[in-house]
Amino acid sequence: MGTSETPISREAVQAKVLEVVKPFVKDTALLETITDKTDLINDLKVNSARFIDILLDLEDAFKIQINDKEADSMLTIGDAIRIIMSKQVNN
Amino acid sequence: MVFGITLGNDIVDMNDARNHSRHADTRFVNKIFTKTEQQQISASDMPDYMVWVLWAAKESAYKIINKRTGKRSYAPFLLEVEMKDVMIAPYLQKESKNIENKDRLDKRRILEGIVSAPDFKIHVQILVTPRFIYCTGCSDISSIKKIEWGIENNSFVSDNDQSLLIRRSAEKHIARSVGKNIEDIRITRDIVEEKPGPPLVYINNEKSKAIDLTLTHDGPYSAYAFIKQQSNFPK
Repeated sequence: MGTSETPISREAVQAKVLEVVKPFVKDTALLETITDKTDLINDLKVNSARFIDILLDLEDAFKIQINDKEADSMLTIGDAIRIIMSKQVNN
Repeated sequence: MVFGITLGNDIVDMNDARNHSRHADTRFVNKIFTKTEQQQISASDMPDYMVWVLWAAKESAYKIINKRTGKRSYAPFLLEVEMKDVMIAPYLQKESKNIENKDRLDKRRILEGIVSAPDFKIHVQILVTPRFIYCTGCSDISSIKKIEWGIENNSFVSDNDQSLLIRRSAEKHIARSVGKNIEDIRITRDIVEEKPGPPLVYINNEKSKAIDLTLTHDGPYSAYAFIKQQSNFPK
Protein backbone atom coordinates (compact mmCIF):
# COMPACT_ATOMS: atom_id res chain seq x y z
CA MET A 1 0.00 0.00 0.00
CA GLY A 2 1.58 3.26 -1.07
CA THR A 3 1.28 6.51 0.88
CA SER A 4 2.01 10.09 -0.06
CA GLU A 5 5.27 11.62 1.14
CA THR A 6 4.02 14.88 2.71
CA PRO A 7 0.58 15.26 4.31
CA ILE A 8 -1.42 18.06 2.70
CA SER A 9 -4.52 19.94 3.82
CA ARG A 10 -8.05 18.86 2.96
CA GLU A 11 -8.47 21.97 0.81
CA ALA A 12 -5.33 21.12 -1.13
CA VAL A 13 -6.52 17.51 -1.59
CA GLN A 14 -9.91 18.74 -2.76
CA ALA A 15 -8.35 21.14 -5.27
CA LYS A 16 -6.11 18.41 -6.65
CA VAL A 17 -9.00 15.91 -6.87
CA LEU A 18 -11.01 18.42 -8.88
CA GLU A 19 -8.01 19.05 -11.13
CA VAL A 20 -7.79 15.29 -11.82
CA VAL A 21 -11.53 14.88 -12.39
CA LYS A 22 -12.04 17.97 -14.59
CA PRO A 23 -10.74 16.58 -17.92
CA PHE A 24 -13.19 13.66 -17.66
CA VAL A 25 -16.32 15.81 -17.31
CA LYS A 26 -17.82 16.62 -20.68
CA ASP A 27 -20.34 19.19 -19.47
CA THR A 28 -18.11 21.75 -17.72
CA ALA A 29 -21.18 23.51 -16.26
CA LEU A 30 -21.50 20.52 -13.92
CA LEU A 31 -18.15 21.40 -12.37
CA GLU A 32 -19.50 24.69 -11.06
CA THR A 33 -21.89 23.01 -8.63
CA ILE A 34 -19.55 20.36 -7.24
CA THR A 35 -19.82 19.53 -3.55
CA ASP A 36 -18.59 16.61 -1.46
CA LYS A 37 -21.87 14.85 -2.27
CA THR A 38 -21.41 15.10 -6.04
CA ASP A 39 -21.55 11.60 -7.49
CA LEU A 40 -18.85 10.94 -10.08
CA ILE A 41 -20.99 8.72 -12.29
CA ASN A 42 -24.54 9.94 -11.73
CA ASP A 43 -23.93 13.68 -11.32
CA LEU A 44 -20.77 14.33 -13.35
CA LYS A 45 -21.75 11.77 -16.02
CA VAL A 46 -18.33 10.13 -15.93
CA ASN A 47 -18.59 6.73 -17.58
CA SER A 48 -17.16 3.59 -16.01
CA ALA A 49 -14.07 3.42 -18.21
CA ARG A 50 -13.20 7.02 -17.38
CA PHE A 51 -13.80 6.23 -13.70
CA ILE A 52 -10.88 3.78 -13.94
CA ASP A 53 -8.79 6.52 -15.58
CA ILE A 54 -9.66 8.84 -12.68
CA LEU A 55 -8.55 6.16 -10.20
CA LEU A 56 -5.23 5.80 -12.01
CA ASP A 57 -4.72 9.56 -12.24
CA LEU A 58 -5.51 10.01 -8.53
CA GLU A 59 -2.94 7.32 -7.74
CA ASP A 60 -0.37 9.22 -9.81
CA ALA A 61 -1.29 12.66 -8.47
CA PHE A 62 -1.10 11.61 -4.80
CA LYS A 63 1.48 8.83 -5.21
CA ILE A 64 -0.85 6.32 -3.56
CA GLN A 65 -2.55 3.04 -4.44
CA ILE A 66 -6.32 2.72 -4.31
CA ASN A 67 -7.41 -0.86 -3.73
CA ASP A 68 -10.65 -2.47 -4.98
CA LYS A 69 -12.44 -2.05 -1.65
CA GLU A 70 -11.59 1.66 -1.56
CA ALA A 71 -12.57 2.07 -5.22
CA ASP A 72 -15.87 0.34 -4.45
CA SER A 73 -16.61 2.97 -1.80
CA MET A 74 -15.50 5.91 -3.97
CA LEU A 75 -18.84 7.11 -5.29
CA THR A 76 -18.57 10.86 -4.64
CA ILE A 77 -15.98 13.63 -4.60
CA GLY A 78 -16.16 13.54 -0.79
CA ASP A 79 -15.42 9.80 -0.82
CA ALA A 80 -12.34 10.38 -2.97
CA ILE A 81 -11.09 13.08 -0.60
CA ARG A 82 -11.77 10.85 2.44
CA ILE A 83 -9.84 7.92 0.94
CA ILE A 84 -6.88 10.10 -0.01
CA MET A 85 -6.87 11.86 3.38
CA SER A 86 -6.90 8.49 5.18
CA LYS A 87 -3.68 7.60 3.41
CA GLN A 88 -2.21 10.91 4.53
CA VAL A 89 -3.09 10.10 8.15
CA ASN A 90 -1.59 6.64 7.77
CA ASN A 91 1.68 8.11 6.56
CA MET B 1 -34.67 -5.11 -7.18
CA VAL B 2 -35.43 -6.97 -10.37
CA PHE B 3 -36.09 -10.69 -10.71
CA GLY B 4 -36.86 -12.94 -13.66
CA ILE B 5 -34.79 -12.71 -16.83
CA THR B 6 -32.47 -9.75 -16.38
CA LEU B 7 -30.53 -7.85 -19.02
CA GLY B 8 -27.50 -5.57 -19.01
CA ASN B 9 -25.80 -3.88 -21.94
CA ASP B 10 -22.78 -1.72 -22.72
CA ILE B 11 -21.52 0.17 -25.74
CA VAL B 12 -17.93 1.37 -26.22
CA ASP B 13 -17.04 4.17 -28.62
CA MET B 14 -13.89 3.03 -30.43
CA ASN B 15 -13.44 6.50 -31.99
CA ASP B 16 -12.49 7.82 -28.55
CA ALA B 17 -8.70 8.11 -28.49
CA ARG B 18 -8.73 7.32 -24.77
CA ASN B 19 -9.89 3.82 -25.66
CA HIS B 20 -6.99 3.16 -28.01
CA SER B 21 -4.00 0.93 -27.23
CA ARG B 22 -5.20 0.20 -23.70
CA HIS B 23 -4.03 -3.41 -24.04
CA ALA B 24 -0.51 -2.00 -23.70
CA ASP B 25 -1.44 0.04 -20.60
CA THR B 26 -0.31 -2.41 -17.94
CA ARG B 27 -1.76 -0.50 -14.98
CA PHE B 28 -5.18 -0.24 -16.64
CA VAL B 29 -5.15 -3.92 -17.60
CA ASN B 30 -3.98 -5.08 -14.16
CA LYS B 31 -6.60 -2.91 -12.46
CA ILE B 32 -9.51 -4.56 -14.23
CA PHE B 33 -8.70 -7.90 -15.78
CA THR B 34 -7.97 -11.27 -14.20
CA LYS B 35 -4.99 -13.33 -15.36
CA THR B 36 -7.30 -15.47 -17.52
CA GLU B 37 -8.75 -12.36 -19.15
CA GLN B 38 -5.27 -10.96 -19.70
CA GLN B 39 -4.33 -14.19 -21.48
CA GLN B 40 -7.33 -13.74 -23.80
CA ILE B 41 -6.17 -10.20 -24.60
CA SER B 42 -2.63 -11.41 -25.38
CA ALA B 43 -3.92 -14.27 -27.53
CA SER B 44 -6.28 -12.07 -29.57
CA ASP B 45 -5.56 -10.95 -33.12
CA MET B 46 -6.92 -7.52 -32.15
CA PRO B 47 -5.89 -7.00 -28.51
CA ASP B 48 -6.89 -3.32 -28.69
CA TYR B 49 -10.48 -4.41 -29.33
CA MET B 50 -10.35 -7.47 -27.05
CA VAL B 51 -9.82 -5.17 -24.05
CA TRP B 52 -13.16 -3.50 -24.76
CA VAL B 53 -14.94 -6.73 -25.65
CA LEU B 54 -14.08 -8.03 -22.16
CA TRP B 55 -14.86 -4.65 -20.61
CA ALA B 56 -18.32 -4.47 -22.26
CA ALA B 57 -19.06 -8.03 -21.09
CA LYS B 58 -18.12 -7.11 -17.50
CA GLU B 59 -20.14 -3.90 -17.59
CA SER B 60 -23.20 -5.74 -18.89
CA ALA B 61 -22.83 -8.29 -16.10
CA TYR B 62 -22.46 -5.50 -13.51
CA LYS B 63 -25.75 -4.01 -14.62
CA ILE B 64 -27.48 -7.34 -14.12
CA ILE B 65 -25.94 -7.79 -10.68
CA ASN B 66 -26.79 -4.21 -9.70
CA LYS B 67 -30.41 -4.72 -10.76
CA ARG B 68 -30.59 -7.87 -8.69
CA THR B 69 -28.90 -6.50 -5.60
CA GLY B 70 -30.00 -2.87 -5.86
CA LYS B 71 -26.39 -1.82 -5.19
CA ARG B 72 -23.73 -0.23 -7.37
CA SER B 73 -20.40 -1.90 -6.89
CA TYR B 74 -16.84 -1.94 -8.15
CA ALA B 75 -15.32 -5.40 -7.93
CA PRO B 76 -13.65 -6.21 -11.24
CA PHE B 77 -12.08 -9.44 -10.01
CA LEU B 78 -15.40 -10.80 -8.77
CA LEU B 79 -16.38 -11.36 -12.39
CA GLU B 80 -14.45 -13.30 -15.00
CA VAL B 81 -15.22 -13.24 -18.69
CA GLU B 82 -14.52 -16.14 -20.99
CA MET B 83 -15.12 -15.53 -24.68
CA LYS B 84 -15.76 -18.51 -26.95
CA ASP B 85 -13.26 -17.08 -29.43
CA VAL B 86 -10.42 -14.63 -28.92
CA MET B 87 -10.10 -13.84 -32.63
CA ILE B 88 -11.92 -10.59 -33.42
CA ALA B 89 -11.26 -9.99 -37.14
CA PRO B 90 -13.57 -12.83 -38.33
CA TYR B 91 -16.43 -11.22 -36.37
CA LEU B 92 -15.89 -7.62 -37.45
CA GLN B 93 -19.08 -6.23 -39.03
CA LYS B 94 -19.81 -3.08 -40.99
CA GLU B 95 -21.49 -0.23 -39.15
CA SER B 96 -24.64 1.34 -40.53
CA LYS B 97 -26.07 4.54 -39.01
CA ASN B 98 -28.79 2.90 -36.97
CA ILE B 99 -29.13 -0.78 -36.31
CA GLU B 100 -32.29 -2.30 -34.97
CA ASN B 101 -32.85 -5.82 -33.91
CA LYS B 102 -29.94 -7.46 -35.66
CA ASP B 103 -31.79 -6.94 -38.97
CA ARG B 104 -28.77 -6.19 -41.05
CA LEU B 105 -26.29 -8.23 -39.13
CA ASP B 106 -24.64 -11.51 -39.93
CA LYS B 107 -25.76 -13.58 -36.95
CA ARG B 108 -22.85 -15.96 -37.41
CA ARG B 109 -20.54 -13.07 -36.65
CA ILE B 110 -21.74 -12.23 -33.15
CA LEU B 111 -19.14 -13.01 -30.49
CA GLU B 112 -20.40 -15.03 -27.55
CA GLY B 113 -19.10 -15.55 -24.07
CA ILE B 114 -19.87 -16.21 -20.42
CA VAL B 115 -19.28 -13.98 -17.41
CA SER B 116 -18.87 -15.98 -14.21
CA ALA B 117 -20.07 -14.27 -11.04
CA PRO B 118 -19.78 -15.96 -7.62
CA ASP B 119 -23.35 -17.27 -7.65
CA PHE B 120 -24.38 -17.41 -11.28
CA LYS B 121 -23.36 -17.04 -14.90
CA ILE B 122 -24.29 -14.33 -17.37
CA HIS B 123 -24.34 -14.99 -21.10
CA VAL B 124 -23.12 -12.27 -23.42
CA GLN B 125 -23.35 -11.61 -27.14
CA ILE B 126 -21.13 -8.94 -28.64
CA LEU B 127 -21.26 -7.04 -31.90
CA VAL B 128 -17.90 -5.64 -33.00
CA THR B 129 -17.61 -2.94 -35.66
CA PRO B 130 -14.57 -0.78 -36.40
CA ARG B 131 -16.23 2.15 -34.60
CA PHE B 132 -18.05 0.60 -31.65
CA ILE B 133 -18.40 -2.56 -29.58
CA TYR B 134 -21.85 -3.46 -28.30
CA CYS B 135 -22.65 -6.14 -25.73
CA THR B 136 -25.92 -7.46 -24.39
CA GLY B 137 -25.87 -9.79 -21.42
CA CYS B 138 -28.66 -12.02 -20.17
CA SER B 139 -29.12 -14.03 -17.00
CA ASP B 140 -30.73 -16.90 -18.94
CA ILE B 141 -28.98 -18.49 -21.92
CA SER B 142 -32.18 -19.91 -23.40
CA SER B 143 -33.55 -16.36 -23.66
CA ILE B 144 -30.55 -14.67 -25.24
CA LYS B 145 -31.91 -14.96 -28.78
CA LYS B 146 -35.21 -13.37 -27.67
CA ILE B 147 -33.56 -10.10 -26.70
CA GLU B 148 -34.67 -7.19 -28.87
CA TRP B 149 -32.28 -4.27 -29.24
CA GLY B 150 -31.29 -1.22 -31.19
CA ILE B 151 -28.26 1.02 -31.59
CA GLU B 152 -28.18 4.64 -32.72
CA ASN B 153 -25.45 7.03 -33.74
CA ASN B 154 -26.56 10.54 -32.77
CA SER B 155 -23.57 12.79 -33.29
CA PHE B 156 -23.81 16.50 -32.52
CA VAL B 157 -26.50 16.19 -29.84
CA SER B 158 -26.12 16.65 -26.09
CA ASP B 159 -26.04 13.69 -23.69
CA ASN B 160 -29.53 14.63 -22.50
CA ASP B 161 -30.91 14.71 -26.04
CA GLN B 162 -29.19 11.40 -26.80
CA SER B 163 -30.87 9.92 -23.77
CA LEU B 164 -34.27 11.22 -24.92
CA LEU B 165 -33.75 9.95 -28.46
CA ILE B 166 -32.75 6.43 -27.42
CA ARG B 167 -35.62 6.21 -24.94
CA ARG B 168 -38.01 7.32 -27.67
CA SER B 169 -36.65 4.65 -30.02
CA ALA B 170 -36.93 2.01 -27.31
CA GLU B 171 -40.51 3.10 -26.57
CA LYS B 172 -41.40 2.75 -30.28
CA HIS B 173 -39.76 -0.68 -30.49
CA ILE B 174 -41.45 -1.91 -27.30
CA ALA B 175 -44.83 -0.58 -28.46
CA ARG B 176 -44.47 -2.47 -31.72
CA SER B 177 -43.31 -5.61 -29.96
CA VAL B 178 -46.19 -5.72 -27.46
CA GLY B 179 -48.90 -4.45 -29.81
CA LYS B 180 -49.50 -1.10 -28.12
CA ASN B 181 -49.48 2.51 -29.27
CA ILE B 182 -46.30 4.44 -28.54
CA GLU B 183 -48.32 6.83 -26.34
CA ASP B 184 -49.02 3.87 -24.03
CA ILE B 185 -45.34 3.24 -23.37
CA ARG B 186 -43.11 5.37 -21.17
CA ILE B 187 -39.54 4.75 -20.03
CA THR B 188 -38.38 6.39 -16.84
CA ARG B 189 -36.15 5.78 -13.83
CA ASP B 190 -37.19 5.64 -10.18
CA ILE B 191 -35.07 7.62 -7.75
CA VAL B 192 -33.58 5.21 -5.20
CA GLU B 193 -31.76 6.82 -2.25
CA GLU B 194 -31.52 10.11 -4.19
CA LYS B 195 -29.93 8.37 -7.19
CA PRO B 196 -31.56 7.25 -10.44
CA GLY B 197 -32.27 3.53 -10.51
CA PRO B 198 -32.34 1.27 -13.59
CA PRO B 199 -34.69 2.25 -16.45
CA LEU B 200 -38.25 1.02 -16.06
CA VAL B 201 -41.01 0.51 -18.59
CA TYR B 202 -44.48 1.84 -17.85
CA ILE B 203 -47.41 0.57 -19.91
CA ASN B 204 -50.57 2.66 -19.63
CA ASN B 205 -49.01 4.44 -16.63
CA GLU B 206 -48.39 1.18 -14.74
CA LYS B 207 -44.90 -0.08 -13.97
CA SER B 208 -44.48 -3.20 -16.05
CA LYS B 209 -42.82 -6.29 -14.60
CA ALA B 210 -43.31 -7.90 -17.99
CA ILE B 211 -40.37 -6.19 -19.67
CA ASP B 212 -36.79 -5.84 -18.54
CA LEU B 213 -34.98 -2.96 -20.23
CA THR B 214 -31.39 -1.78 -20.23
CA LEU B 215 -29.82 1.36 -21.76
CA THR B 216 -26.26 2.43 -22.51
CA HIS B 217 -24.38 5.23 -24.20
CA ASP B 218 -20.82 6.25 -25.02
CA GLY B 219 -19.75 9.09 -27.29
CA PRO B 220 -22.26 9.43 -30.13
CA TYR B 221 -23.57 5.89 -29.66
CA SER B 222 -26.51 4.84 -27.57
CA ALA B 223 -28.35 1.56 -27.38
CA TYR B 224 -31.22 -0.24 -25.70
CA ALA B 225 -32.10 -3.88 -25.17
CA PHE B 226 -35.27 -5.40 -23.76
CA ILE B 227 -36.86 -8.76 -23.21
CA LYS B 228 -40.43 -9.81 -22.54
CA GLN B 229 -40.81 -11.94 -19.41
CA GLN B 230 -43.14 -14.54 -20.82
CA SER B 231 -44.51 -15.64 -17.44
CA ASN B 232 -45.50 -12.07 -16.55
CA PHE B 233 -46.70 -10.92 -19.91
CA PRO B 234 -50.47 -10.40 -20.17
CA LYS B 235 -52.17 -12.44 -22.90
